[in-house]
Amino acid sequence: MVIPNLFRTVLLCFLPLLVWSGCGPSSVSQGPIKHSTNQPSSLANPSLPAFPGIGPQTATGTQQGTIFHNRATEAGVVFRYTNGEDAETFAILDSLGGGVGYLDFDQDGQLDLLFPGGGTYRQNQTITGQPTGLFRQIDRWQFQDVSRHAGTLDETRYTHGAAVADANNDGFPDVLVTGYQGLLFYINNGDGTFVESANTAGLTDQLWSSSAAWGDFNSDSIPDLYIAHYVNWSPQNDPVCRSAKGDRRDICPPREFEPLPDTLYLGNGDGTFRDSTPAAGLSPNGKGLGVIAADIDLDGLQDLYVANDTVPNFLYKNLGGGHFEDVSNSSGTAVNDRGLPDGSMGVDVGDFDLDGLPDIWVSNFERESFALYRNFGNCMFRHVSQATAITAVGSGFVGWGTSFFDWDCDGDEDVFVANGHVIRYPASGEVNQLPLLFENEGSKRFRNIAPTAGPWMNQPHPGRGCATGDLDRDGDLDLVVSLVNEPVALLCNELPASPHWLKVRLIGLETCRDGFAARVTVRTNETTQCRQIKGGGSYASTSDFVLHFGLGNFELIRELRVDWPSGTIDYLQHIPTKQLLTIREGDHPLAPTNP
Amino acid sequence: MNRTALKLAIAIGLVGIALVAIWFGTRPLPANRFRLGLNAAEHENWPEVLRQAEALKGKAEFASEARLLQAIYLLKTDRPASALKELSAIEPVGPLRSSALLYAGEAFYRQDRLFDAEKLFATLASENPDSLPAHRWLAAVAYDSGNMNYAMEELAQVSRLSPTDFRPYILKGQILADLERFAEAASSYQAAVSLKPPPNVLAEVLPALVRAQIAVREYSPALTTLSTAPDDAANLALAAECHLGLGRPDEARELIDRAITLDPNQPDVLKLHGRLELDAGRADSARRSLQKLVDLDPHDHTSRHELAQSLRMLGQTAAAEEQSRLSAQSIDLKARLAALTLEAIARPRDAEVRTKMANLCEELGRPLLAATWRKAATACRQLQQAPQKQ
Repeated sequence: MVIPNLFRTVLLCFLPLLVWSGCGPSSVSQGPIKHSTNQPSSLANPSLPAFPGIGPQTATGTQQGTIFHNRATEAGVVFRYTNGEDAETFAILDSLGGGVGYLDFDQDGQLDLLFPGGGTYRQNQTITGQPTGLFRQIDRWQFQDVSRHAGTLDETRYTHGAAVADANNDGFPDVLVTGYQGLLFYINNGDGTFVESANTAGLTDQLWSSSAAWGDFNSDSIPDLYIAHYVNWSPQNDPVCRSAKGDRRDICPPREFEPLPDTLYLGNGDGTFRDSTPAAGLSPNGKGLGVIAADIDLDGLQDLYVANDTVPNFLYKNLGGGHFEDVSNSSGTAVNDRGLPDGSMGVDVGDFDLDGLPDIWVSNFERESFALYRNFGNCMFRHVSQATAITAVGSGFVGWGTSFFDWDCDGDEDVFVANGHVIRYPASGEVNQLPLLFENEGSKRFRNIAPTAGPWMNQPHPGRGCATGDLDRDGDLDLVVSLVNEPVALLCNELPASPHWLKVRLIGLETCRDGFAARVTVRTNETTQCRQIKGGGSYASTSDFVLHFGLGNFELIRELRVDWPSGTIDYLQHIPTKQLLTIREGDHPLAPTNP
Repeated sequence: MNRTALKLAIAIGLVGIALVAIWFGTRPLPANRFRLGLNAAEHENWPEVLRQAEALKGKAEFASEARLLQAIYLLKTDRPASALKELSAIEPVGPLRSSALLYAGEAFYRQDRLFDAEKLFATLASENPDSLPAHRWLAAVAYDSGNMNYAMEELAQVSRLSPTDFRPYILKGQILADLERFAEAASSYQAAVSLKPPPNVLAEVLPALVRAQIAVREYSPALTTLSTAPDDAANLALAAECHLGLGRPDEARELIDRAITLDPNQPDVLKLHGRLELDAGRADSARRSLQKLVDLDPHDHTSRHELAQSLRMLGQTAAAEEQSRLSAQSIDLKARLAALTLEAIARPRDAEVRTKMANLCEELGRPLLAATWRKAATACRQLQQAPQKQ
């Protein structure tokens, strides 16, 4: 608490029998501030990656008038995440909600959807789960609930997150479901059914898990797994907290609880995993909600970023062999621009400024700012939310699921955030919150265009996890959002014009099959874009692994390069747009004369 | 006696009668003397207050009035204990009761007996809910004792009774800003501005309003506010921060360049300059500005955090770690102070909490604030030790 001169002046003036005219400073108005005109940007060029020609550039024009239309009901995806708040136990367990998983579990070329169902914590201190929903896409915007047949109806766990990956490299995506009372690990049998195998796979973690990220952390081509844990709530550690106004019981804040250490599982190659946490070099004091595995320093190894609630976030630089160095503080990504930890929930990695370096995006709690950490290279980041107008949307949002995605196919990555309050009786009075759709303007700043992006985007929701992918195979990215105690939303991207795009599916051979950490660089005559295969991300969700490139008016891709973590480079030239390109590792080796 | 002489005698008689009448009408009656004394007090003419008090002494029916004027004189010449003695001898009922309560409350306040003062002001307010000075004093006492919620309630009463007074809104804005309730602080400052305070006050209120608006990311309204503010270095820096928040770093840069020419060492200017230089990757230039800032305020944890970042960019890892450590230390102290502030609000008579706050304020280099909390702690302790007085 600081009392500046102003207060002293006023307090003295305020006292009875003193005349105010004798108080206060005597500064006199000198006239209004005159605002400046535009000046050229002075942003310094950071170090550039190995691929030639990558550098700051301006993306192509933005499509106007696009809306996202919720087609969940007509598509037959009727599913509701249940947090059990009707039991009136006000446990922090109720607050996390659930995520979304994109997967093509039957490999028919059409994306399917998976939703953890939540659960209930009752007054008698029992915890039950709700079934996980699996919806198979049978035609465009036609889904069928196949949960029963597929065998995802487990009700023993209170669930939150869906982490999808081909865990056993058999060509069929498997699913890890996080939550309270342990993990669920659904191995895809390849025949439309799954078998829950957490215990037999050695995934015996019993701590309260929120999100998980698949990756290949020791470069052995076998998928590994990072599990983010939240706090040490239990029925035996369930304090009573009051609402902001103090007039009734409400959900306790995370500060009331101790953090739980995260877990790193390394794959053994035989379908089982070993707990490699002690040797990994992880910090024990996180309250993890979001986690992403991505090659942040572009050294070919998947690094990890963990969004922690109310304590500093983690950035782990992968040293190889399943060992990490905690560079959270030295990188500038542990805290916000004031040096304080945020209440972080969701996370993604993308190259918002098209400089070739992956930047980190974090959704945070209200009265904070969502954090955009610009990558300066050498594991140095700068919090640029203010300079990119992210903070200008205000500080009333509680951000959860979030995703970089080029929704308008204009060549730069935009951002979606699903928002919703965590407590029952917030001071603002509203649990539901408006979503945010940030349009990337010239790779320099963002503008929220959600109010003009259709009715769903213009209404408050109890948002949690979200994921992106081209559900209807029309070339633009659609969104799926999990809501708390409300039906999920399938947001069809109805881009009015017909911009160019390219989708790239990677199939690893030396690298694990999903291609974790593989980087794709796409160059037209004027633009260069980089994407990579990431594990985890958003909040408790998994987006489609197919990489999407918006290309605006560019009809031809001059060069496409894939840098696989195995060291293999695939290189293609003169590629037509508006297609899904499948690249197997080593199918298009880089010719010696090529760059 | 001739007719002329008779006329002259009558005229002289009439003049005499008129003069007597005039004298009679204007002679300093005790009641007039009391009014003159109060008028002198309003104009802070303390010798005149004393003169009228002395003149009333010995007039038995005006003994209380004489004591009241004497008490005012003593109070305003820094003798509150003596003033209290005079006030305690005034009849507890009658027309002087309100004034006596008010000045007695002030006398207690000036002796740092905050809760004795509060009791008298509260009595006055309960007897006369529309007593403007009672509510003003109650607000001041509540603020000094760290009872911010009560202070804001009383400020609301003051605004009700004096709707054109901008001062309660400014004070309320400051309290809310201290509690980091910036949206409400901005509304309160906005209300103060709408009541058209004089230019010298406005020049201080506008930046406070802008800071609150920036804190809640209301950058465009903040720029509108600044359009009526003096074009000094601090305000240019605030405008630059608004432009930065709107994603216009080039405009911010131009403003900060202008601000530097006006005052290169102004803290807001240094802060924005450091931030812009860091954004642009010019770590050494940023370091210089940020170092100046932490020299000015060693507990400016944000600047220290950014200083650490500039040092890391320059490869000075050990120095960066030290700055990070110091930043974390300041953050910890401030977090403890914030928690204690809430405790003080919840426990308005707790001396221990206030003593801890005073100690923390000293650690944070805020001696004035420390003194305020010590005063509050002393008052709480007096309350705990002394028997309740009527």
